[in-house]
Amino acid sequence: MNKLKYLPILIYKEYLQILKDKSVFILSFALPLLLVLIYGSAIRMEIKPVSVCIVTQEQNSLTDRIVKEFLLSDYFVTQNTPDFIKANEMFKDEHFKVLIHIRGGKKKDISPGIEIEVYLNGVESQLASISLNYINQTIKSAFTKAGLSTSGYSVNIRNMFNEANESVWFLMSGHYVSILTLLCMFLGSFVISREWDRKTIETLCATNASATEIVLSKIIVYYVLTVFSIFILLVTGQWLYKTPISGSIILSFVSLFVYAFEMLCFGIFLSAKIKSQFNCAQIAVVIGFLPAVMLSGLIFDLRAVTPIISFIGHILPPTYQVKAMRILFLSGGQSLYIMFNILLQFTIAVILIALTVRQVKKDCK
Amino acid sequence: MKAVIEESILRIYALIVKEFLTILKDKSSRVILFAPIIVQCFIFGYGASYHLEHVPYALYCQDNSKEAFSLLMKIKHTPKFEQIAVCDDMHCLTDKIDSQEALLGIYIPENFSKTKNIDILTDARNTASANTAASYVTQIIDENNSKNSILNFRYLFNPNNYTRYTILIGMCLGLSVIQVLLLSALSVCREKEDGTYDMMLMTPSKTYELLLGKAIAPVAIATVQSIILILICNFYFAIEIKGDVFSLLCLIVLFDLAIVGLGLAISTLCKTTMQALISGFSCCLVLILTSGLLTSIDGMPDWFRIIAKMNPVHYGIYAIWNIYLEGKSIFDILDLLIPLAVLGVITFSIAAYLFRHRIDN
Repeated sequence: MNKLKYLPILIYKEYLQILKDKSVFILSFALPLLLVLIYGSAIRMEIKPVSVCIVTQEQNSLTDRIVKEFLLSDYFVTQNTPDFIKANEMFKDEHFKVLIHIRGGKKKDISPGIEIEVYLNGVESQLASISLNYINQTIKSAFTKAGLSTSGYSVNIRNMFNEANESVWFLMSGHYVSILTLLCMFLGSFVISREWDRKTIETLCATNASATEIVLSKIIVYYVLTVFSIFILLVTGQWLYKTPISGSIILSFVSLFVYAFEMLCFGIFLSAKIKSQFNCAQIAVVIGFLPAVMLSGLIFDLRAVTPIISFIGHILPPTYQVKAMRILFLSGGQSLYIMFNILLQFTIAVILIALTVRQVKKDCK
Repeated sequence: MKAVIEESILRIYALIVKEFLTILKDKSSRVILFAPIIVQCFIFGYGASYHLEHVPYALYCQDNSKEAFSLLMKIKHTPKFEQIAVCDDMHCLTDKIDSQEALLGIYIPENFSKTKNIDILTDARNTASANTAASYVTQIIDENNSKNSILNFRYLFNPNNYTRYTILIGMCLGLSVIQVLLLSALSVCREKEDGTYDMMLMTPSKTYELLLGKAIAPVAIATVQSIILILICNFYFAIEIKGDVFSLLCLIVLFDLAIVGLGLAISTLCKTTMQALISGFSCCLVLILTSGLLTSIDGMPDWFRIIAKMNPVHYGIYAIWNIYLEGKSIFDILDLLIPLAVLGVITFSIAAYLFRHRIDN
């Protein structure tokens, strides 16, 4: 192994460099903590409670029943008033999110003879559609209890792989992927560009060490840091949100480790290519943050977006990792796909290392 | 007195020119300031949707009645729904969902025409899309049964309830947060690393002049970016500006000014470019994710909502929604602007304090 003679020395150099500037530690230890807390708590899909105002002009047993149903439900904070104009003004000033207007009926063909008008504020569109879902169900249940039926069919909805219908569960497995994407790319993006900014790259090139050794030493040292980050991330994440793992725990770990390795290599490749810390960090943020959150199917389901976006999503590695993590955490099984994913991410990592070495070699000449 | 002010303005002006030159002199950083923003705008515009553009589903029907058939035809001919498989047993149905080919499984058991039972299986590995898809089906089934719906609903300010409206308009400010913070966080650090910091201190500029000069360039760049984004929203995505343009511009400038103090504070505290970028970026992430832009504040735990209330971006985003989508003017939303201004003044004073004390060292 004469080829890698200088590798230990270079690793020692990187180690000293990290000790000198502690901000790398902040990045690899504090940032995963912070991110897991924020992602887990801030990105939720349930909205509880929704503030509602019900306007009832006429009192009868059915309207009473509906209002009572809303008051009893812990999904809503309800107020009740007969004054529509005042309620409408308060709605415009955003004192509550939904306005429901129940009118005693003129329509003869509907048995209870009432009409329900729901006004939602479309500015927060997700909140609006979730609230409408809740309202729909509550009103239906009020009708059923009053002995009236809105629909002849009874529809049973079963949520597979996540019986509790808890959004943290499905989001958390994806959050691990997006946090790691961001972290590793960000960490990697400084590694070689910093040498350029400080103009120490020439000194490095002038030594006897080959480009392969330079790149490998950096990858090894920073990957050790990444491994610590993954542990911190998983331990805090599992401790705080108690996401169940249905699949193999070992495979989940292996899968995440390989993925983090790939993302680190990508960050380092970027830093070799772009050579300026500011530009590199910007690009890492833009492509690290975006595809991992928007295009990987983490929040927005790729099965349901326009084909072009779905296509772009399927070219990017995070998409496959998110899918694999969801299988590992929530449904289990499908080990063939998990293996395929690990292999895929690893191959990309190797290609990236080769590209980085080529780039550094070219620049050193 | 007049001469003193004139000189001071001249010095600030010189510093602003210098800042613009450092930021814009490099071709690649010019590209990086504008290209990603525009790309992101389009990706957010098309990709960010909690609605489902198409719903692939698998079907398992054990009933041969006419009623079941008509219901199935109704579902099949709904434009969004795409039937990808017809199964002969339950195992096949769950399999299609497990492999993520189908979003929904529809199961119609025997004697459907008598019992009127329908089972719907969803892939709750993504609860958001599962719930939305389930609500679509329930709606179709309900409509099939009763011709007149007694429940009418109306979305104000966003009649079709597009997610795009919410997210893109919020992003007009959200994306500029990233720019302002990173640029201002870098402005002092870059000088330290390049060794030009002492030269800057040797100029006759006073501390507050330095601070102002450093603040203007990031604010100006971020404002231009926000305007570009708003133009794309208005002309390309055809989201109509309901409020007046003047209010919108005032909001953008005020918002950027409120954020820039934070960036400058970071910049004076950090020693290297890397530290500045890391802290600046961490701040960005916290600010954007807790602002209620991607997911509503009402979904967060109580203690987290307090953090969100201290977040200037939260006020900015709600203010731009109010102006752009609801058509309010800047005077109607003082309850949002005053906290924004107060937070801006606080961060700016902190930056000024740090700036003065760090320079003395």
